[in-house]
Amino acid sequence: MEEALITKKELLELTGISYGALYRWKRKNLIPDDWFIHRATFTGQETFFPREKILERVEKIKELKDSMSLDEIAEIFNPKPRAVSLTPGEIENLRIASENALELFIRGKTDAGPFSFEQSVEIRLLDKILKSGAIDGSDALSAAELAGEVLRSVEKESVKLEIYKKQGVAFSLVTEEAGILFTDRTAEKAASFSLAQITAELKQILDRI
Amino acid sequence: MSNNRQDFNVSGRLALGPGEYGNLHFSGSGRLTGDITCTSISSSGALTSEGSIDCEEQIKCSGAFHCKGSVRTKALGCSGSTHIDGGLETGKLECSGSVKIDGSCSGESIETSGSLAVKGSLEGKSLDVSGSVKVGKSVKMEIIDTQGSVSIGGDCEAERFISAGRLDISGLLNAGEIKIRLSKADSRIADIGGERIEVRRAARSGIFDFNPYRGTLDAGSIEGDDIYLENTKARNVRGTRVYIGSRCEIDTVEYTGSFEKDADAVVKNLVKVGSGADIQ
Repeated sequence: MEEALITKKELLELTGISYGALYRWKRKNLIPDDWFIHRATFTGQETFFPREKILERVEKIKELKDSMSLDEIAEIFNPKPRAVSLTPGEIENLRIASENALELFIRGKTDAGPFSFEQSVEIRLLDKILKSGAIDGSDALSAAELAGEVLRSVEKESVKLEIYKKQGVAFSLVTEEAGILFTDRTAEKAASFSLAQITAELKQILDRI
Repeated sequence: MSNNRQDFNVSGRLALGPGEYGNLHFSGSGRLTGDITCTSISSSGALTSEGSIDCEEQIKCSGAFHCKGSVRTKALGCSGSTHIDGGLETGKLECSGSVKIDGSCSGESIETSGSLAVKGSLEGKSLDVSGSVKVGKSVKMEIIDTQGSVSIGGDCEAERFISAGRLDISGLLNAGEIKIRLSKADSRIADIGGERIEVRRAARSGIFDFNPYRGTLDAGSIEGDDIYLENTKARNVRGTRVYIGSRCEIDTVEYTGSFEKDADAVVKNLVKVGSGADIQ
């Protein structure tokens, strides 16, 4: 069954974005090339998009672009792990994570490395959780593990980890990056971590060496 | 760092087998019979490689260099003629002679004052052309600065695309900033999309230039935020702020912000659309 399509012109009118923005987002892979569908019409060649998908994507980009760089947003929609193998020494020297986080990870998982890209993301996330002071020890490790598991199972979008506290008890939630969570009003958000941002940071660090 | 690598200085004829080498110098005729890894290569004679080359430092060739495999190196400098049957992966490519690559090419910084021909695709950070560049498939760079002739068989993407010379792009030119100075010969770009798009006619070449205004750009759709065109023939021009300069012939202009045209520009249909784009 064919998906409903929308023309480029309609898209720009509905969303209020300009041609320049659309082409910039295409360059940065925020909009997949295969969503640009070229068809011949009686007015000549026109470009169409899958209606629901493009409207949803443009709204998400509009929401995120004031708080994240385009490269970070690209990471959200194209989570692409890299083939790397990092020893604990390298993780520390490259400042991917602190000794504390590394030790906690190694002890908890009884895995001394070397670590894959996904594991390095988890270790860096663990480092940030510990530094935020929201939770520590084995709670922090489980939170990082949970985020790693969900990231691996959700293919189409990156995720964020949020830690809430209510009456001294902390609990972690992992949700899609651009998703909205409604919680009990007496629960307090203690911390929030974007896996897309951490992945982008890790890639930047690896690109520099 | 392996110190078991041997250096070779060849001034006659020599064939080297596959393996690991140090610094190789050829002024005669050299033949590599298999895949090699080496520290550096310099050749002023004729060098042929039957296999692939993985070079740690740089390859410098002022003679004839033919590699039947692929080349991976930190830098490649060619003032002679280089032909690579496979692909080229390099940090820096400096070509003042002729470089022909049958596969694809990826290079952080690519500079040519000679002729560069890539049958596959070209990608990297910066492309600086003062000679000619021909790419069979697509080009993806951060900065493209050319003063020569450019021919691209597929799409071309960059953050900045600045050119003076003849252009022939069969796909979409998608760049943030596009500054085109046309040549006296006609140029053709299938479609153009970007933020700031500027196309100007060739500069007058002296007092004996009796046809100073020739050289046009033929394009399908030109879409952007700020558009300034001269000597351009296009089907559609769509943008926020559009200026159609002299010697242009446009079928349809759609603008959301402002529109101006030169007296002798031809615009067959003019449409004002919407209330102006808010997000650029």
